[in-house]
Amino acid sequence: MTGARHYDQESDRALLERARDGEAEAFGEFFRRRHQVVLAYLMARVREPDVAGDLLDEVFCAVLITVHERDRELPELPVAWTIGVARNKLFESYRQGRVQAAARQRLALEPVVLHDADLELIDNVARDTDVVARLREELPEEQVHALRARVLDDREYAEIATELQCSESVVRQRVSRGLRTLRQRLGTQP
Amino acid sequence: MSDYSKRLEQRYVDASRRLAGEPAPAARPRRRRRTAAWLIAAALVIGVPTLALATRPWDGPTPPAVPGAGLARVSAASAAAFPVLARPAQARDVLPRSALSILGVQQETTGVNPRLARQVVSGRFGAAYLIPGDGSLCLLVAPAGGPVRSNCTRATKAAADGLLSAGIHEPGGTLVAGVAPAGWPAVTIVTRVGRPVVLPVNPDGGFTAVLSSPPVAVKRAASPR
Repeated sequence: MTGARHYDQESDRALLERARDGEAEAFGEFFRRRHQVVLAYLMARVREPDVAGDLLDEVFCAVLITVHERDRELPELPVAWTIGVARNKLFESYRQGRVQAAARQRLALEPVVLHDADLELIDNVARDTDVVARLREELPEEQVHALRARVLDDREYAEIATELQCSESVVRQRVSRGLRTLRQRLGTQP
Repeated sequence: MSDYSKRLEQRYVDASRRLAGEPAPAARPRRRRRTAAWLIAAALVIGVPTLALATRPWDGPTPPAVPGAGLARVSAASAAAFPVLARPAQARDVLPRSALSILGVQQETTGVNPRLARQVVSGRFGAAYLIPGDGSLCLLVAPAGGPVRSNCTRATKAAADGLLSAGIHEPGGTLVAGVAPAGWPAVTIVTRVGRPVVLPVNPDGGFTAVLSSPPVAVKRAASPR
């Protein structure tokens, strides 16, 4: 974006800190850096680019709101946390039968307009982005594996345990540890 | 090529500024591109709503005049190709508020004028509108409860081929809506999977259906039997 400073050396968390301190372009950089993995996660679940695009907007609006709430601790792993937010938004949307819009309403933002070219782009991003590979850059392997099965693939504990040839409680521990890692570094979720 | 990511990025930068209490920078005048001006029309992006649209919701049958609000009148060629654009405005032609603010952002650069929009088809799904711009035509689909979608192209291309929305996912299938040029009694929708579907065209040139597969193309068809 024109006029945006270079953030190449900044961590995601540093970007969010800068955004919290009033450097709006830093949040833009965070979005630019991480929106593809979130989009790919959402597309894998909803399969429809218009729904995924709509959800993506709601997710980043929710993240932005949290970033500006100074009494909330910022996450140490913002990308994993953002995927957690996406998962929550997805489930809320399933429950209510429509895509959540609470964060956008709070920001007084109109719905996103999606053009045909946008939908094609979303399709392409989803096809070309490996969510697990991105998470692997951030988390220990065993937690990635457990999270992948439980959170990304939404599989049952028993099924995962059979595949991994361990007990269900071990799987639960790994998932729990992975999620705890994400949550503790955040403090809470929006 | 889509500028989806940049539009969203700018959206959040602006929102972040507002949350931080910093006013968003004034919108810079946009340059017209000499080549492929219709592509600009396709970029009906979300941004800071124009003052007129943000402060005055349009609830009358005809939106009020907005100075510099784009195309002043429908071209003879577009009106001939799509007679619905030549009929007097009706209450149903008023665009949903969410679409108004979006279109307002682009009025000065694309010539898209919501005042000249005409509804071409409506139903349980919501409604679709044909909106003329400067050398372009846009089909705007506003599904009930879903995000507004648009598809813009050169007016000459639309007059030759019609305008079709991308498939919109909804329970039971994929919603399509479109508008056919004058003289087309029906359209054939070619879908990604399965046999082509023939749909009748209504008196406004509009058509809509829920299909089992996303649409790929629209063609002229003889009257459906």
